[in-house]
Amino acid sequence: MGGMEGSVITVRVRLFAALKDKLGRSEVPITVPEPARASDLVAAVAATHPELAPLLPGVRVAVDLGFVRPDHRIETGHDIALLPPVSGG
Amino acid sequence: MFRIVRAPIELGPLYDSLQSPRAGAVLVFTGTVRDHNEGRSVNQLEYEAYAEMAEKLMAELGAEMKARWGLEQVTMVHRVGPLAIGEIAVAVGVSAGHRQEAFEACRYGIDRLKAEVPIWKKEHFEAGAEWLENKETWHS
Repeated sequence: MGGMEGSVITVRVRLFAALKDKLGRSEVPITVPEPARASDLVAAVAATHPELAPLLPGVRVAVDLGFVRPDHRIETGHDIALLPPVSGG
Repeated sequence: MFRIVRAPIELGPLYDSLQSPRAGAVLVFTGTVRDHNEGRSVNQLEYEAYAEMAEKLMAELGAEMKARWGLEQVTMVHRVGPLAIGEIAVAVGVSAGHRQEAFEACRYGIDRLKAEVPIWKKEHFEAGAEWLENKETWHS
């Protein structure tokens, strides 16, 4: 049945480093149409918060404490984070 | 021991955690805060981490190192918050039967940590502050 068409999910996205400073918040709710991939989530962040867009090209997505590929399916309840290129050490 | 910590890193307990009767080599690398970077003078560094993920990745990396080089013990600790010049930001320690595997594993560990573990450094210099990227990090 086509009842799910047009449905969306909202997930909390953790932000770090330059992303966090730019927005002044360590997490944001992001709404994406289903089915959502990690790449769709990044695009939705850019659309919702255009000031973050210049910082997003190098960012990797983590789901439940692990890196995921751009085609990874995003679902409600996932622990999602946007990770800028790292600089530890 | 794979930890993100806010308090200063103490080398005594860290070294003790590496000891093993089978180890002929105990090696601890420390990364410390430099007073300059890329030609400009640095006043202070500030580190931030995604602590749960960083600790998980460090533990996975430690397990991989242990298996690959047959290490006795591995430990990785990274500090977060504001750090002054000369303070220890990161310590990677290994113990092994012999020095060769200890040196190789330790270098591998710090290199991988700098490339992948979700930790970020903000440099405060004369004219402002900036989040940095390691040259080893991923690129899009």
